[in-house]
Amino acid sequence: MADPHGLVHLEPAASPGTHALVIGTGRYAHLLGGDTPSQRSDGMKQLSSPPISARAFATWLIDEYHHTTKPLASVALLLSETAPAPFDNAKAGTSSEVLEASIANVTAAVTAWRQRADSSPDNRLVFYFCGHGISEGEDMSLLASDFNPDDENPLNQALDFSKLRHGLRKCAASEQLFFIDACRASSDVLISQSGATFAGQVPLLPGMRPLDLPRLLSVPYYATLAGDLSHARPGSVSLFTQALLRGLRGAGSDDPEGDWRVTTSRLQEAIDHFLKQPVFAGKVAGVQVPVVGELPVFDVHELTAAPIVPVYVGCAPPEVNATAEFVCRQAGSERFRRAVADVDSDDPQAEWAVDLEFGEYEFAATLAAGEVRTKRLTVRPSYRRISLAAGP
Amino acid sequence: MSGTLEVRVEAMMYEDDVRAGVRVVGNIFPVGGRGDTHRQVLIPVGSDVPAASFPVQPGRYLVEATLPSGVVLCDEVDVGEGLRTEVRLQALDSPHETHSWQYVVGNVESGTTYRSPATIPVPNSTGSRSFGRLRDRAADASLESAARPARVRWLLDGSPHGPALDRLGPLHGAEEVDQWLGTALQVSAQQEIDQPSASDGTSPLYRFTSAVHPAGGQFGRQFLTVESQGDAYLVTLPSPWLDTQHTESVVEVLVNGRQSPTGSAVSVTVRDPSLGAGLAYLAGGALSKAQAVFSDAQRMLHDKVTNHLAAAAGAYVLVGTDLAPERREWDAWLDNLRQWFPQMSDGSILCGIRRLRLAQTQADVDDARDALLEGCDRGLPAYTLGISWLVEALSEFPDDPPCVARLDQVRRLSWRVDLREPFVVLRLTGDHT
Repeated sequence: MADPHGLVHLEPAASPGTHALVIGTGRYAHLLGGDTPSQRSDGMKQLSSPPISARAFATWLIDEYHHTTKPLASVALLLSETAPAPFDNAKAGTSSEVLEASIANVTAAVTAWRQRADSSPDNRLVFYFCGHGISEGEDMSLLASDFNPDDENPLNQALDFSKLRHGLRKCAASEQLFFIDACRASSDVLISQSGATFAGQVPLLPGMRPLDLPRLLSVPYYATLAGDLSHARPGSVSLFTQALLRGLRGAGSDDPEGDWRVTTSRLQEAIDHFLKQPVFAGKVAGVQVPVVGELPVFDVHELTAAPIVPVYVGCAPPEVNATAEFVCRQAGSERFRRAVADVDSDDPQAEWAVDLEFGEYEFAATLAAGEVRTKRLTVRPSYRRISLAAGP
Repeated sequence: MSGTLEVRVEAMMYEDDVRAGVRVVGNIFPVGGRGDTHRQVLIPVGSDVPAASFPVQPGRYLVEATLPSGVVLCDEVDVGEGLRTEVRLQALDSPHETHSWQYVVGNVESGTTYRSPATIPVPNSTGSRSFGRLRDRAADASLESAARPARVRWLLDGSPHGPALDRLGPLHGAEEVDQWLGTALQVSAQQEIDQPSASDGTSPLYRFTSAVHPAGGQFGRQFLTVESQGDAYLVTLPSPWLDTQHTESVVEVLVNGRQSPTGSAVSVTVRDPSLGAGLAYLAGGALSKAQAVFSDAQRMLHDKVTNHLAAAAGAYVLVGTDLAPERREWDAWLDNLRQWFPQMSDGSILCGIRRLRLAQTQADVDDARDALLEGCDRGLPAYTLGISWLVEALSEFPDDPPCVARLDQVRRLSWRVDLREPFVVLRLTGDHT
């Protein structure tokens, strides 16, 4: 039986610590393709990537997240998926049934999560949501799995995200991170047309931060990809979450004090970078990822290994990429190769994208006519783009 | 003995007013862990701008510059002992030379994307107001207006405070917009801007200075109305804008007809060599980068009489990046910004936010509340960040009826505001209530 508050990982000794609530909603009973679809689904349908994305983020938190002064203390996970499956926690050696991401469970989980994080002002909150969402201006509603357009008030099964952040102001945890991968395939006038004062359930009432608590540093990251093409690869982790994870694994890191750390600002740059790359984001490349309000700078994650950096290798002119074989070597040994047979037939002129650890490499391109072009350089965050041109 | 890196970013900026280029934020890292690091440095961008010089120990270096658009440019070079090494990064992929400034600050796509025949994905919801613009025009005659070229008008008179934050009723069509302008803004005269300064037929650029279009009073609010793609917008025009050399900067307005339904239809930027990029970083929430550009934000705030709008931008940066729990010297200047420029509600909003963050007593909280309410009553802020911060701050008073009422007004206002723009661009048309 699932934990009533969605807990899948708990480290009681971690105090102060980081408390995470991760929600991935893909199966919606009352939307197109659901068990009891509404006639007013308004184009909204089932999503395959949110539960996969949420699992990936929860797994990253448990297996890779590292912060010396705010280690991982708890992870709560709520999912709504076509084929419910347990969550395997390799670190704890457990397999947990996962709580359904209905609005009742979400609000209960929010309350419990807030209570866990309230134990110390040195705690950190992490909130992650992937699924359908609605936004108008400063208002945002996150749709739970039992969202029903036929309800007298459809947003009864939604979470008012803006008010959630305002309510968390009263929580002692002074660092709060929010990752919102809310697919905007829904009607974005629903908030204003629902009486304009209601944008979803409010489990934590907004209010003033107590004067005796340290200043709150609150950073939301949003994916603003239009339509359900934000989850353009069915059955895979969403583009935003992929960008987030790659940013956390190195693209969003810097080493001002000698060790590699992901900061809030570098993470934003990394996510923004990935979502602008056609080779990564395909047709939705170029849409911005705004961070609303402000971006106080602090460490999000401390890397325990060398950062992984995205590298894009191509030739000048790009037409040559279609018939070039690329090789990447480090200290004389071949690390990766892209053969001509592996060229993307949909976009033969695309650059070769490869993830490399921080370090020095040599890149070579062998062209159809036998010409070889090489370049040696250092790979470091946030990314490197290499253009191999003909010699003089 | 050390060497020198001389760094610049090349962009197609040839007009006289941008010959000095614009400054963006970059980093210099040594390769292999040996050498000097320079973080959050300013790098000039332009067609023939003097490079920025950085002394470094001999060795190999990675140099990067982050444009406000998010694009990161980088190169790797060797620096010899006692030698000067030039680094020329390139931001040359603007769709047009005339749009280079817009490209650098991120308001228009690269030329490759701009000219691409690829279609842009749109929301598939019939209820989406974005989707509505792409409905079959044959099915709805009112959407014929979407096919007309953009229409831009300068509001020559009207309330110096801008519109109050009252609820905007649904406005449909130019006539209702004009009626609203007359009542909400007391506008009786508008100047049609017949020709853009530059256009490719899709994304016209309009440029404003007081020499071309006389300002209606030194400290009054300036607005445009822009009709494009079937919608009408009230656009903040930050004019006149004096740069740090007390020279008037060109204010540039891009009406982006090609922009995707989720992009900005109207973008406003200031061609200020020192601060232009900083405004774009500010809009993106990258306050630490904006802080690097507004390196002299304190002096700007102190020098508010010359350019109160720039002073307000500097104040947003200072308030947004200062994490210390005590008052600073510039807090007094913040009060002056509020008192001396009542037509700009940003001063009151900034004071309110600042007091709330530093509050240690109920009296501090009460002062903050009063400043926030005053900000609401002073009308539309010049900066979009003011609206976001008002929502954040007013929500801290859920049991205070005046704050609750104002919060409702500002929330509704935010539905019509493009939150990606530094200056307030308000969509007037539509069914939002």
